[in-house]
Amino acid sequence: MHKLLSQDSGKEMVLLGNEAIARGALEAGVSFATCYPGTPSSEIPEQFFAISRETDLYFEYSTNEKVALEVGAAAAISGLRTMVTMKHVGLNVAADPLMTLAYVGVKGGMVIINADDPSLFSSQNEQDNRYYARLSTLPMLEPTSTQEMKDMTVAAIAISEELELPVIIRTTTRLNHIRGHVTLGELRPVKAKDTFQKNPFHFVCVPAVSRNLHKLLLEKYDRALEESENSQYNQIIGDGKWGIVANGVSFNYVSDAVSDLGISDKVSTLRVGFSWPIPKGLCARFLRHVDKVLVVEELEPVNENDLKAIAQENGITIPIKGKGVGGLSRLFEYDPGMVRKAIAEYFGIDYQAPEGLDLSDLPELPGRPPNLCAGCPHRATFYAVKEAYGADAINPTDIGCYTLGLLPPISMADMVICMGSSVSSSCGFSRATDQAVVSFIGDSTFFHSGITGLINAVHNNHKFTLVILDNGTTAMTGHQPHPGVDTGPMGVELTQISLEELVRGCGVKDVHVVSPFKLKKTIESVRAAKEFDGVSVIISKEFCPLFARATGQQKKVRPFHIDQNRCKNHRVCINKLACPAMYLEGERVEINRDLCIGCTVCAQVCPENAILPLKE
Amino acid sequence: MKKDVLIAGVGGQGNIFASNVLSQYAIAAGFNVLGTETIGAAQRGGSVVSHVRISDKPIFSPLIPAGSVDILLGIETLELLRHIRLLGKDGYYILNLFSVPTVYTNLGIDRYPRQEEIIQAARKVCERGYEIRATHKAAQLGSIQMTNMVMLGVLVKVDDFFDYDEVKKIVEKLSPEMFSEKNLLGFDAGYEHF
Repeated sequence: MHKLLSQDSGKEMVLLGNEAIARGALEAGVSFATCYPGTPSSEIPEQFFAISRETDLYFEYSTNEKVALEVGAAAAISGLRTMVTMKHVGLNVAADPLMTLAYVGVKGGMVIINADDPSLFSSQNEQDNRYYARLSTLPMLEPTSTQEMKDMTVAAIAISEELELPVIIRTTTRLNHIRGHVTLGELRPVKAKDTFQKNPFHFVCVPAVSRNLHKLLLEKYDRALEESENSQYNQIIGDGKWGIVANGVSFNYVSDAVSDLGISDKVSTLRVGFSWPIPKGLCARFLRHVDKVLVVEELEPVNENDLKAIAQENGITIPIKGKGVGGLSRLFEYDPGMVRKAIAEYFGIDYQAPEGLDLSDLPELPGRPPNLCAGCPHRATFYAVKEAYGADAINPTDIGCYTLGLLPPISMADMVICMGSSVSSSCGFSRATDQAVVSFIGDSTFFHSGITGLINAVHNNHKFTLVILDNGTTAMTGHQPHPGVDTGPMGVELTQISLEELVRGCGVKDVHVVSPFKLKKTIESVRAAKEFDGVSVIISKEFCPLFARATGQQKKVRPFHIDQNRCKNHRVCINKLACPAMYLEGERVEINRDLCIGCTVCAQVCPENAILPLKE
Repeated sequence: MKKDVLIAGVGGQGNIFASNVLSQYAIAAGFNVLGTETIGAAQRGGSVVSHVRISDKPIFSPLIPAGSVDILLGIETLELLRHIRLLGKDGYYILNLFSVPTVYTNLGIDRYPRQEEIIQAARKVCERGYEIRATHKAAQLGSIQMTNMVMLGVLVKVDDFFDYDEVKKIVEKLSPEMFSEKNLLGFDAGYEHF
């Protein structure tokens, strides 16, 4: 039995934040869950996937976040309790349905998990999605602990059904990956099917309908505001005259700092957990009570600006500050030391940070950038494309492991802004310049949002080569399935969509399917594609080795070694491929047999044929 | 009473499993536990850092504040040095004498500090340190996968807070069946080393 299906209510478990959210969904009676994976949210759907094999929970990896939200919206409108999970930039993709789903509302409770990523641990930006609550007029909750990640999920479903609105839970990477105690509650029975009640003059958003729905949404907002005013998640802690306002993980840092600095009796902390609608009345009471206020929040000064507006409405003139105090900025995630320092500085407390250790003799430490794995087929594809196209072609790329092609010596990434942008930006580059354009996109990302760009390219007669790196999985986020595969984890059967047929269906006339580990043939195919006057697509097909290993599809591993008698030290292998299995031992190249998986690519590039399989 | 443990290594070294064992042990012993991990693109050769905070008082911050780390477990030499600045004045480290080169040290573009340099630098920063060739030991026992268990064995030996029998029970409980015996072997090898 999956550990999150424990019937043992009251039991204490140590859970990852994302596991706590999944358990919360089960305790709330969620029976329908969709997602597109994205760090730091990916462990939530992983739980659902496993759980859906054992229970009536319906779960799917949807093609992208917009699709996930629309699939979920229909379930929630039909009366099922629904969860949709995504990372922060995923909500950009889902923003279109989000805005008008807010008008339509839901019948079964619906929670949208939105995982922000301050510090950009694995994202292209660090946008603050609290603005989405304001933009959509939807309620937002922000947990601070594993226990709350579970409990708030249960609460969010209840709020959602009461207001008939989707509720957004906003987490940050630090909370998704927090590990702590959770006391389990009861699992609720689930309703796996319901009946859709037709009501086109509510659900079909033509202008005449939406005019009424917008009014309805504002009425719901007023009720949401009342809920927020009385929510247990919006709380004033302490009675002092020094005011601190905090949300999310920042509240934890504030709590520790207030206790460490010994100023509990001087401070009142307003914790904002039901953060939209912001509880204006509670905030005004708080502002009247304190002498000055420090707002501690990662990323944008959202609460700070709201508090300033509330102060203005209430004729309160005390100082309210946040960004700019101590090290508090709009950049990156905060840490406990930074928050302690800012509090000390703002309230004029004599405080010395703990004396640092003497680090003066530390040698210079090389960084440890991530790298394509040993035996990664992307490395071979990059090599072949560079051989055919040279280093001067423009290389729009996309979001996935292959974004690492950015780093030298591969250096084959010139632009990426979002999922799918490789294809559409290739259209622009090929028209705006006379440079050759060859772009890269992963299989999962192509299904996510590359297809529309490709149709655009064919329809508008652009000229470039698109390389689809088909490694049979969504590798970067932890090997989730996508529409191009026929099995998911644990052998669940899915219907496979052929990439080649799809690409041809988009109107592409010049399509090449290659095995990247056959370098010579791959290079020939890329050369042919380069000559084609129009849009060419190379589908470079080879399993992600990590995925193959995890799913027992790995071919027999026969590592290679370098015959040092033959090797003339050209170093083409290590300098052009930079495979992590290769290293310099003194002046000679060696291969780490524990890391080498025998992909043979280095052997194919060696001018002396000095790289050979190890004898068994 | 508090123990702030930072485990620094690279992807695939069993960092998260080790932090899980310590968390479960501390909870069973009745302490508050909170932790977090920084994974990033660890599967692609990046560094992995786990924070495990154990205390008899409530803990709020999942990140260990700089200068507050009591125990630094460095499963990889460079990663130990990278995080040694977080050690508290009374803290100590356990260093696995095992280096995982980076892509640029492999290429000869960056320089990987020599092992003696790393040991010297670590000792200069912090007087109390234990060095062990844990990966080597694990390999001798049959698999470098047990490196993390050897490290835990050392920790339990040098720190009275961790009870040998109880930690061992947790290792046994959390290990997948096929690795359980080997993990215990690694754990004991580390325990008996000092």
